[in-house]
Amino acid sequence: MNEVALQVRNLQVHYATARGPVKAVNDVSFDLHKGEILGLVGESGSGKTTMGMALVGLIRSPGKVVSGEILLNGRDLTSLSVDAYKKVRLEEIALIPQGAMNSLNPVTRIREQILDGPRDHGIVLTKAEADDHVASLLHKVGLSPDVAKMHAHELSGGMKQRVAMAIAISMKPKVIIADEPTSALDVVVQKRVIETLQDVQQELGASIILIGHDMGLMAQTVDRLGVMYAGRLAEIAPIRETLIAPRHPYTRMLIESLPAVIEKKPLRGIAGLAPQLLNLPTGCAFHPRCPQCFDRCITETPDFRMADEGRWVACHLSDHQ
Amino acid sequence: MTPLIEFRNVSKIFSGGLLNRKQTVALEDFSMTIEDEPPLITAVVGESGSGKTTIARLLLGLERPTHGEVLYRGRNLTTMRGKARRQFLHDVQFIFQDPYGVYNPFYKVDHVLTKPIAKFKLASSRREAYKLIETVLETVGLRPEETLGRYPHQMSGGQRQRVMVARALLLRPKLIIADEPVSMVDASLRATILSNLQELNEKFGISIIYITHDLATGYQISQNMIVLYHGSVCEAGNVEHVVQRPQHPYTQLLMDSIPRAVPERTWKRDSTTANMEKPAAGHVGCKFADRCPQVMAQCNESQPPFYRTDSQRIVSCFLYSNAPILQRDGLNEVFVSQ
Amino acid sequence: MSTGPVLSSAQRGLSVHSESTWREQASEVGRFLRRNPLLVAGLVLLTLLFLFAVIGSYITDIKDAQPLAARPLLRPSSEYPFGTDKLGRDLFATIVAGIPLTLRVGIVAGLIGLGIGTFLGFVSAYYGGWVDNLISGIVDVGLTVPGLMVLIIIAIAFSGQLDVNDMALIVSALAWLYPARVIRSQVLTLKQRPFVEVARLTGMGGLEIIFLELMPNLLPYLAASLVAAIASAILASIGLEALGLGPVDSPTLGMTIYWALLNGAVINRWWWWWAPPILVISILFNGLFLLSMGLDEIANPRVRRSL
Repeated sequence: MNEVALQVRNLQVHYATARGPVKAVNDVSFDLHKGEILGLVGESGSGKTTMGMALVGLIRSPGKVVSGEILLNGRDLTSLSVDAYKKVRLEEIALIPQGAMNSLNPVTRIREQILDGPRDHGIVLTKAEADDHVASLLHKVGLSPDVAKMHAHELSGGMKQRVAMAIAISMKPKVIIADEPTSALDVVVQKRVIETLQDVQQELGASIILIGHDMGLMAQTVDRLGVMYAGRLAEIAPIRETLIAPRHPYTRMLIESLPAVIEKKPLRGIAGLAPQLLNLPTGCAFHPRCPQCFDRCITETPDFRMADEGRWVACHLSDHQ
Repeated sequence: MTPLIEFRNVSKIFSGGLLNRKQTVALEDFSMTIEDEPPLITAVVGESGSGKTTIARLLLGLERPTHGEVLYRGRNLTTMRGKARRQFLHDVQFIFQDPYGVYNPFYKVDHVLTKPIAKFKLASSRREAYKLIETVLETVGLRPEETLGRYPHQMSGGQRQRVMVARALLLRPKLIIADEPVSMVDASLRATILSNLQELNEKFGISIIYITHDLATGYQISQNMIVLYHGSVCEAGNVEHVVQRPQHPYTQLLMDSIPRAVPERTWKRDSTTANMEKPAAGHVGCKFADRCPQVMAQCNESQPPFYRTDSQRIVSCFLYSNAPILQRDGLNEVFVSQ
Repeated sequence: MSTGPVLSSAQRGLSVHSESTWREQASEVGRFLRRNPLLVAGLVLLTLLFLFAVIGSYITDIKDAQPLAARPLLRPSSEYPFGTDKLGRDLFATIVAGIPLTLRVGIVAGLIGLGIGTFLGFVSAYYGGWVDNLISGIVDVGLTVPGLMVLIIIAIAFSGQLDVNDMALIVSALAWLYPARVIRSQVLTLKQRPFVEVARLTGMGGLEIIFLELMPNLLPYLAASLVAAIASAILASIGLEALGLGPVDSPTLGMTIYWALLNGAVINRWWWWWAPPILVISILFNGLFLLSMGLDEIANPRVRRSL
């Protein structure tokens, strides 16, 4: 379990704008362990979606991976050419993009869309082989083989999301990035889809990065959780420990702001606004909203440091151990 | 006094498709009354396709009922014109789900606040109007100098939504229909906006119909709750009863499916298959029958009535057929009314 | 699928400043111009033409655009930069006089066409029902009829009695059809946006919503359509004129071409007669076309080719 599937080192992804570069991902480092589900949670401007796109090499102008490394199977993906990355994408690392269910081709049948990936990778299948492949993929994601002949509009939201999953796993990648796979789905369907994702993971022996904004979903699904804020990682730790004793004030307030169904309690949001990436606060980006802010927080940006075994935090409070 | 709003056996049926005359029942035989006093928050909870948004649109007069009537102070909403309609538009306000689409991108955000003041003659001068605007903005926790004069795309979703809450307050309505007001807003801001809504209710005496798919937030801010499934009421009553001791299998399914931010894994695997199709018009029996783990023969024969299992709750499920039956238009009797 | 995530407004870091300095505004304009090269190119061409006509009108006497103003068939010289035609018209004066006339036909017809078309398009899309069916029906049928043929027939019916304004009116009779259809589809899309419902629930009436809420959002689109309407109106009028169906007494560009062709200017190698009007027309059209493409890019950023 301690073997590493993917390593990210000091990744910087910037967007060129008329007013200067926006550091959407600003010096982020973490490991993805083999067989785990790592959650990446954050709000608007946190950089989590950019992170997901960067990992599969889909950052396009005006965005650019400025520096850092993405190490997969002994190779640094950031050094790959566009064509080389195309080969790696889907075979070794796959993305289920945000809103995937809405980006299914409305005109072609599901079967064709699933076979697109392998075809692009130069895999030639006979009709029988193709049919088998599609049927087994659909089965893996809990859909009936009849779905292959259908079109996107005939399917419900949950089914479309599962088709997106089938497309992503069609070449059995070892790393899967799922960006908000359940955001438009209701609670009941969401649970089913996540369970499907977990089944797929088991079957493929893959490692998953689950990107989202729902702390509750993370709590019930992931093994470890990374919390992103303004392009940086605020905290990363095993999920249980994050929930029991969060180290970063942002994480703590995020958990507290969630409504519970156990009993009624006063609703507590986080005061202030998400920072503007072109106009970041000095020092720690969270300091204007942090109830525990002190002098050092305003002048010095905290480093992302190991606070405990398996826990990293970027907060001056942790340094004061 | 005649009730503010009354739904009398309202049904809404959409006929879809060009070739097949397939009809979808968005809402079936729904009755409810909203009084002026006391001002209450009622949560209407359901998945997409449950009919919750249909209720919102019927309440605002944006849709017409296929059967039944929606009444505002005893008058049919669809035929109201002129002065009466104006009064209705004043008394009943709204907050919609999409914090971007509700703004006309051509205008600054001031526009959504100045227009109602002008239309409803809430101020006699520009100065007075802006004073009014500043007051409501501050009530929802926004700073006028940081909000006014900006364009919608220059603000975050959460801020835009708070401006809409301020706008709703501007008219001092009797009722606000909030249709998924926080589902497109960042988690850290949701609590703030929802507590704004609570304040509108407690401090300003405004009733709120809070429509959501999120049972948890529904629980947190409301006194009463209605759970909808495919256009019918499954369970309704005092929110404490419905949420703490859910009786309808669907409500129980919802409760089990909510992912809680707690260290224990509360999600349990279950093996029931989900049927995603919406039942067509003319569907006989309980709508939830084909997904229900406790389905009985009776469930496919007729739609269960409202069984009143305690003084402040009804369940529409044959499992509780021992309890007394409540008429469909008596829904309000099980609601908290203090 | 998009090739990159859409930046949230936080990431775009949009500025809060409601007052910017003169310098900042100037650099905003500069940036705008640099990002819209097509627009700029179009404006430059049209401005050059405009300057040519204005300066030209000071240099020469417009009366020289009439026959018998000078000795016929003179080659271009310093006295007559474009030479003269067979009837003794000073061609430089003719071109200088013709540009505003041609533009006037285009602008008047374009404005009328767009005005009517826009109004009907809005009404049709917003109110729907039988109004929509009626207007759309007329538009659909009208657009299938070959426009030039209709214009030719009308022009023949009035031949010899037309002046420039009449030309404009004739051309505008058909110019409203296409804008009506195009505006209608834009409005149908806009109508779905929640802010229209918000407006209705604020007590705004149909016409109020059309003029105050919908139309401002279509301004870039309307501008692009106006330019396109003007261009096609000019084309139609030049076409008619070149066939001899235009205002015979006016020195419009199209009529000049007509006279040139009628008198065999090409065969007789009197190039200074037929070349200038054609050159001017092509500069005019290129300018209008580039301008319209530039406006299109603003109205519909997805069409954008530059940046």
